[in-house]
Amino acid sequence: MQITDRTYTPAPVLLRTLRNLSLFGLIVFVAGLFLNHERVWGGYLMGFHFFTALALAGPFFLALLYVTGSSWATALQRIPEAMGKALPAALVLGVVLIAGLPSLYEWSHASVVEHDALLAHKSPYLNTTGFALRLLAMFAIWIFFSRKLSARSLSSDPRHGPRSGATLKLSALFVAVFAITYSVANFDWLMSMEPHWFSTIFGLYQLAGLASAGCAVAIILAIYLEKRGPLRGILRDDHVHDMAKLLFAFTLFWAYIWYCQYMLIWYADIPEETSYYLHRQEGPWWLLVRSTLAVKWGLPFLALLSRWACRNRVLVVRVAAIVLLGHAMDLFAQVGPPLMGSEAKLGIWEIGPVLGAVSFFFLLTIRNLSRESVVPAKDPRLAESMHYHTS
Amino acid sequence: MADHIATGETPLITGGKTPAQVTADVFGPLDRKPTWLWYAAFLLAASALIVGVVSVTYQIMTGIGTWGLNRTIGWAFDITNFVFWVGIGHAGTLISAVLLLMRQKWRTSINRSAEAMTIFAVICAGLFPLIHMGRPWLCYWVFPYPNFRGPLWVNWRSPLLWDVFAIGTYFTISLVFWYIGLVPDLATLRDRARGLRKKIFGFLSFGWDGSARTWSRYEVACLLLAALATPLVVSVHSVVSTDFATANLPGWHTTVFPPYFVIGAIFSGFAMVLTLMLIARKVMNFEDYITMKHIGAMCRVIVFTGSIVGLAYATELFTAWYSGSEYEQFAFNNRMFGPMGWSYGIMVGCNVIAPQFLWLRKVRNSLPLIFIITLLVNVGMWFERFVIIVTSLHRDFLPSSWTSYLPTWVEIGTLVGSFGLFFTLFLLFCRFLPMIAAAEIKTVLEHPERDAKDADRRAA
Repeated sequence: MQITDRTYTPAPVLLRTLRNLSLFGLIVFVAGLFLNHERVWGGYLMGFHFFTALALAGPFFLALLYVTGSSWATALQRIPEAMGKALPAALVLGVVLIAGLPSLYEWSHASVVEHDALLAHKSPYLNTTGFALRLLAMFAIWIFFSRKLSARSLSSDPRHGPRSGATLKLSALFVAVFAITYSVANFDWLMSMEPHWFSTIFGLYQLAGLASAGCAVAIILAIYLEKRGPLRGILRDDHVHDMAKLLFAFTLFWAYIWYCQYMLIWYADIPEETSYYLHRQEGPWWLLVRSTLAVKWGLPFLALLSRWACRNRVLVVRVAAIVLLGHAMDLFAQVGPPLMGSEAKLGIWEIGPVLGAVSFFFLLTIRNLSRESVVPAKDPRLAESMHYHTS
Repeated sequence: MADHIATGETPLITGGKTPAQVTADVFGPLDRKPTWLWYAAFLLAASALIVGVVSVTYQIMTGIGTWGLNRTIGWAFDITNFVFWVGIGHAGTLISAVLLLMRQKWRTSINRSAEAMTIFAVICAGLFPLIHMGRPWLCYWVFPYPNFRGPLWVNWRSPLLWDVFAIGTYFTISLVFWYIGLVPDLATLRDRARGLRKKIFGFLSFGWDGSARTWSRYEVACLLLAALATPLVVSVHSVVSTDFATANLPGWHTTVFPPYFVIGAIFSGFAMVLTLMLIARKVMNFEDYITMKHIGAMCRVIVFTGSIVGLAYATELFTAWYSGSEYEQFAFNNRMFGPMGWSYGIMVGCNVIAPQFLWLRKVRNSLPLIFIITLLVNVGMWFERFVIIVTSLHRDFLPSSWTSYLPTWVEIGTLVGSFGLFFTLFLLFCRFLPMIAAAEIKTVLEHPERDAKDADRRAA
């Protein structure tokens, strides 16, 4: 069949643009280290977090597809595979982040911990060595699973092929491990920025953000690959429709989790918890939080309610881009307040690293996509996926 | 349908059934007299129901003082049972609505009974707040209707009022969804019946004619209802969780409660569905319809949701330590090692450890082991609510008011009665309505001849 050879050559313009934007991010970051390291580390953390979430969404979606025995997305599964291959780069970004701990987390200063009973209580967990070790361990686990999972679809050995029992087990195990590790990672990276505050739903909130941003990227890549050729005639309206519905569901889920956390903290009104929203409910931060809700949930919700909208590629890609913008705003609303206090500042030190990280992610993923056939020809469910048809 | 043969998968319905055989298998038992097994089960269920009726009557005539509540523990058995039954009622709508939207075709064998179970479970759940009112004849006070009682009126900021609306909506939609799904099968019943039965089923099936247009409308209606019901699966138990999570009580107030309660509800609901289905397939000879494939899929849902529940327990414990709040830490210490620590042990053992055995293929292929695990999960999920409610209350901020709690015979009788009501309704349902959605089953049957023709055409 002709589908065995669906290679993809990225447009040089696209590669050049992404490379330049990534370089721009890097230059801003390095310059920031000398000129304004307080702020650039905040931007760096956002970029790192955004990058890691997108890369992790790859193996996460892949495992979900295998676990649920889905066949509809088989033709598109090289996209999450390529996304997951950006994880080693995320690890490098994470190692650099360790150098920025003093600018980001107050618990990293021994002098502060000494005079703060609560931080002293938490110091067996919140300390630089622990942070670094956990970061390395989690990335090791993620990279291990991601590589194993994406190797499955290339294997022609039926016992380790994409639909074997071994793959199913591996996927189920990854979903379980991922839920734990991603919660821990976010307690470390984001929640501990306000080390007195705590929320049990925090890990799930980040997971919801990861799923919606990751889905948005997968949509953008799928429609782009169709336009560029390799998925032409393979990506059906039904695929776009289903992915748009997933985006709808993930953003709605994100809003649900946001509301659970906010409503319960507002209602119970306990000082230990309200501190988180007190400074976010004032001035520009409150405007940012409310616009994030509108951009990350309100707009996609209204735009994707109708069937025709979910099948309209131009509209769906735009909504996906809006969701990515919403994700960046959400990160800023979380990272900004503890670093800047009541004075919200948005400038090159924040935009540069985030833009650079996201461009770098797209650059890596597109290059990974061009390495293999864009269609997993060895998957026995490919035919089913290509003839996928819903009402 | 040919595709899963190509990928080497087993079909959903085994035994090479034809549509006519499906009709005979599903509707046949309704034409015959019930078996002795059914009578025995019905007798048992009805007896339990009578125990409940006696207990509740005595309690309403005497007052809530007949319960084991005291100055510290104002909520115990009744709310535990309420949350337990609402939870059981979650699998039905998840199976029928969410799995329909996700095009999981294995749902067709179990959706009818799971939905029926949902409705009966929500009826059981609804009884407990009603009984707890003490004066159930004033229950209409929970509704905000125009009145002259001045400023004393329903409190819109109370999660208990949200419960009224959340559960009322859920019950209505589940009932409508279940009924719409029944219509084609009611028409089959009508076609098989004579005399008065024919008239009754004719009325109930809305003059279903089975034309292409009718089917098309029917499918659209099901999809729309599924989309309406899906948010309800999440909202009901989220609202129930706020009964606790909005309070300032350590052990109750934690932000993860809404999603964690939803997952717990799906977990317990699936365990109950599986318990009932394992019995039903044996008693009704439905082995070809509820196959090992269906059971395996349900086992996977159980181990998945059970693991999330375990993660939520672990997160709560970690956060209790991490928060540095001595009240939080005390609440969880007391929960695990206090005088009621045994109940925490049962909860973790049944909800987190027991389902982990379902990772093993050997266990997933053994019906007795699965049956035991689902029973354990049912017990564990009842204890989860007991642990959350009672152990958080019994040692509050003021050590002088610390007490213990023991249920009285009235409370135990009411719990037994709720099981009696549930099983009585379920057994009546098995007797008078088709337990399996025959019309939907016919859409997932194998058609070897037609598939062979299709394959020839494709090859050519």
